[in-house]
Amino acid sequence: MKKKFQWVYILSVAFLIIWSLGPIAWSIVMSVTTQKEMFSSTTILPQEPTLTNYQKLLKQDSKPGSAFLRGMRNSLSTSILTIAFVLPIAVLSAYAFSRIKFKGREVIRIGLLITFVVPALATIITLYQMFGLWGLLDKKIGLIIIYASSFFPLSVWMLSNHFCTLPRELEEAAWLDGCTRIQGLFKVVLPLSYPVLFAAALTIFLNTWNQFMIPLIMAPVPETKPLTVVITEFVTKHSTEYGMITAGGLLALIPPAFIAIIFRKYIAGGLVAGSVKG
Amino acid sequence: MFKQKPGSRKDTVLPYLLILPMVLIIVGLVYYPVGRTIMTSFEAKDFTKPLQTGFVFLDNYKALLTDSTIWHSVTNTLYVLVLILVGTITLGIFTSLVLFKDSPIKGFVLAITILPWALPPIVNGLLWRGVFHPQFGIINKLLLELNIVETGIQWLSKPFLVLTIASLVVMWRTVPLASMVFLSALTAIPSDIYESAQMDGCNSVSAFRYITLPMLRPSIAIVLTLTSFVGVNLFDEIVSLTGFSGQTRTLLVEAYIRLFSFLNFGQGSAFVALIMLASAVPTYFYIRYLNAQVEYS
Repeated sequence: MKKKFQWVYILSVAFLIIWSLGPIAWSIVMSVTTQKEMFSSTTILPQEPTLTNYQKLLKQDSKPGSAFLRGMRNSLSTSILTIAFVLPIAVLSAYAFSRIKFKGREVIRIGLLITFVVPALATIITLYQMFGLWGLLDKKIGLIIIYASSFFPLSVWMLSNHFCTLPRELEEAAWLDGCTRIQGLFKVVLPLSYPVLFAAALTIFLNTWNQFMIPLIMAPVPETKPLTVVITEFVTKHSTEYGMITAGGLLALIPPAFIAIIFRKYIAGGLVAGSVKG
Repeated sequence: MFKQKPGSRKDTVLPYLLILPMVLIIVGLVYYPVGRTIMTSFEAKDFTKPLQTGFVFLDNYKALLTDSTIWHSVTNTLYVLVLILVGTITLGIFTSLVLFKDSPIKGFVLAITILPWALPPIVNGLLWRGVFHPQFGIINKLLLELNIVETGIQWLSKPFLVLTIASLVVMWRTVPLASMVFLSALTAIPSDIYESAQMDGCNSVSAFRYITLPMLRPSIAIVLTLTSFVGVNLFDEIVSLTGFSGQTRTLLVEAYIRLFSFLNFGQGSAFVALIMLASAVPTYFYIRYLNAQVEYS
């Protein structure tokens, strides 16, 4: 009986590994296969693996390379700037929602959380026209404030749930020592919230990194275009060069994959604490 | 500087100051645009016919509801939705049971099951396209190698197959979240329930049926709700598997085409308004879930 159970477990784990890593593993194989071999070979693994696709993509002075590296830099900088913009504002709101009673609190809170269900296309037409007037099209700041508007529900939700669990007495003691509310927030509440702040920052990073439709419409120029948009352009430009497409795709996975694996504990906690935007 | 004492009269202003930046952004970038979209849906606004403008009330909606390509995108989305709901729940519960078991490789299994959730959906579509590629995809290579088929299957040429594969790709990123939600619910079930059930002669299958499954019911509701939003908003995976044109358009792809290729903002807005209306059911459950959480904390 015990032995049988062991086998079921091993087979289940094997299935999960193939399901989760299979497509990535196969993409690695394709990315090191030469164009010639891809069409002619009858074997499953390439006979002469090569790194030329990666070399092309990571070389600044080649045409695909400069576009790719620029996309990588755009994705990185936009993700980091979005964290810097969203997190402080979310902290202030979350603190107000979880610690201070005020008129209209519940209405505003639900009014914020419900925006989670609004599809991006419902806002983007008007945003496109507004940003056109304000000169925010094709600018990173334009993208960042749109992302902020769509990440607030989740970040505020995660943070205020956490603030609710902290004992009020700690803050009250600080107030007696002459702290204002804001000082109490910075000196008492935030130092006890690093794991959640970190989880929120990571989720914002991942969500920004994975954006596609919004930058495609709002900022499809080389100066702002993120990696996701650059890679889809590869598909139309080099539709037969599957090695290049998979190599590019895999390189784009490295930052989010790295975060997911290294910080899995934080993310698993954050995932459950909030309802993650899909 | 603020010199107010907590609990003093200034506290009545402070919360509004704290939420002000967030409220401004949400109202300006979500509520106002959604309102404008709903207004536009009652107007003639087609950039290919710039002379016909003005209020037309329900004309855009009528035109949409009698358009057969719209219904195509509705059935496509419904098909994907059913597949990913069923698949995410079953695979999610399965994964959570595997993760729940104590074993030396637990952390490793957790890391690899979370991984697909973190990846960009648009890139996922490209990688899976490589898996199902008719000439050099691993699936056809294996099928040929094992002599199951004689010529490779054209996985990405039939709309029905593309939508099925798209559902698989979507599940690849929805299952991790589902399994985390189920895992936390499993961890919350007190183990003495199982012990007493075992003493009453309950085997592991009936323990799952009569204890685990009922205890998971609230989490199943959450996962169904969240997965429905993913299904209704499906866009990236379809685009990277087959592009914008083709018979595999889902609701959002169809709306995107109407807006940005046909430049018919009136009809496009009406379509988006209908999509929001369709999201009302999962939204209702989502709000109920949020309110339940409030009482909780």
